[in-house]
Amino acid sequence: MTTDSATTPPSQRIPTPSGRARLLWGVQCAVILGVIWLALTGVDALILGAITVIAGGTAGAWAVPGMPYPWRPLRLFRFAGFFLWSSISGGFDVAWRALHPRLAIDPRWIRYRLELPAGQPRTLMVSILSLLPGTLSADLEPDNVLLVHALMGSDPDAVRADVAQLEREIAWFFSLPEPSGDGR
Amino acid sequence: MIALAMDAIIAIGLVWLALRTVRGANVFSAIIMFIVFGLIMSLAWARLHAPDLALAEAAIGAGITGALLLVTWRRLQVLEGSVPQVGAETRSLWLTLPTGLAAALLIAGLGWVALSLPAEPATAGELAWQRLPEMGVSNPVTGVLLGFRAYDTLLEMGVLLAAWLGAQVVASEHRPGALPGPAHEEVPLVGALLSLVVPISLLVAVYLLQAGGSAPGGAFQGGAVLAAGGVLLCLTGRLEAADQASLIERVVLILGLAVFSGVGLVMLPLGEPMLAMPGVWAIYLIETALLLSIALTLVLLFAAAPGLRRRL
Amino acid sequence: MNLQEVVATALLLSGCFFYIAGTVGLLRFPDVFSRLHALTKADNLGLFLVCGGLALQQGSPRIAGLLLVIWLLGLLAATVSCHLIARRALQMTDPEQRP
Repeated sequence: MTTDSATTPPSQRIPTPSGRARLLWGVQCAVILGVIWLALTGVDALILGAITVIAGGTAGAWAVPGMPYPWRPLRLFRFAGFFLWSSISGGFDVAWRALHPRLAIDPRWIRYRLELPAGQPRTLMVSILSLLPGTLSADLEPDNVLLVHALMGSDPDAVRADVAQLEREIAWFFSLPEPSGDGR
Repeated sequence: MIALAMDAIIAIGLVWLALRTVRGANVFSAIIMFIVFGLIMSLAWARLHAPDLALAEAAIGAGITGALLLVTWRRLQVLEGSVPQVGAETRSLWLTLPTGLAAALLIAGLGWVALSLPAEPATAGELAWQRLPEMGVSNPVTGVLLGFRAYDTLLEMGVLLAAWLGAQVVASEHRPGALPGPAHEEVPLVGALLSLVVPISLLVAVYLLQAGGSAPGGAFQGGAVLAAGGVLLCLTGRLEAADQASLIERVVLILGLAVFSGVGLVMLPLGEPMLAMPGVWAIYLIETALLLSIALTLVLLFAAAPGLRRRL
Repeated sequence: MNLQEVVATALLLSGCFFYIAGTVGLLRFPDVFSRLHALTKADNLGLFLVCGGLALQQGSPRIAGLLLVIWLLGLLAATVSCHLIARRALQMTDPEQRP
């Protein structure tokens, strides 16, 4: 089953990032793997660790889908705090709705136009949205429109406000211009 | 008391899952029940203080085998044009009831015989436990697999290679073709997943290899985890089936068997028996070769191809 | 049983509670997308609490760090699977009922 790559639209082909993108992500990968390896085995197996880090970095560089975005390490703390708080409240919210005797849900669909650029920001947006209370990212339609499934959709503006808040946090984390938060 | 309750839940759960697997409403639900059965089985192994077996069961029994079954189900759908059906034999009570009863009686009989045997004072296990420090590894499972019973592991690698060769013989007549699905389309999140999971699977595989000497782990578990990374690459369209195995792939496929046999023969001129390990380094060398061979064989079995190449 | 063990046990039990809540949601919610909400979010919090309880039981920062990595990897798997299943469910719905 072969497909003519000339007829596949550019956004849908298997990505081929630049050499610099590969190097950046390969190095980031190698650092992450090195830290985890040290936590796992300490300083006993450094040679094997070095092999793992180099091989892992190469594998990451091979599999990277695009240019990694710059992020400031200090901004990670606030973003991690927001992420943790949202995950916990998301879990509490859905557990309360599931155990509620009258099943307090009102599923609706909402469309939100993203202003984040393609790559890590958009990927983080789509993945973290599913962890926030009441929202689930179902599909990314053409023109950057995110199809969101809301568990309690009786107030669409409140759901949009939640999505806008996540968009703002991600834009701040990657030092991108602040989005308008309108989503239309 | 709580431990007994947990063990009872696991045991009853295993029997119920096995029943659901065999008498599943359709093939897909039977496969899912089988995967869950594998996971609960690995819990049972953990409760029986066999963490190596638990790891192997989770990685190979539930993970890789589950993926193989699911991709086969999907391929059958494409090949036959309809969803695979459950055979009529499993529905017939005349066949299933006597078979079930006979199996239960066999297990009960074997268990009764095994439990009523008098305990031997000097079993092979006891001897192996005492002579474990000679092997240089402190994990008794690795000591047995690659030291005392290395012959079995060597033949297991032969079996794995034979399985791949057999799959090639069958596949050359009924080539399944590429995995169905829009593999050329870029699904959001998949690229990010791969860029993280493939390096992590490499890390976990090498860690399991390194830890196998002193903690639960080893080449089989590590090979299965590495194969899982490879399976992910096949499923997401980064790797596709090639018509021929490249030279590197051929070398890696026989690497486990070749290195194992080679190291086993090294000590012969010195008067030692075959497969006597020259030292701990030999065990790690063999385990590395085994890891690579097992991983590549499992991925090639999943892709049902002689070789893999990067999708262009 | 000192305070550390009590808190660790409490965290483990509450983690199990959230897993049960997620399963109840799986059984009670009407359609695929609502069930995905329940599974992803409740299991995520359940895993976080279980990892927290285990980290407290062990009491070592190294183990706590490794459990954090395990939680993040579990999160990654859950959220990507959730998105892929939701996409597939959308593809399989009738064109008239598509949102």
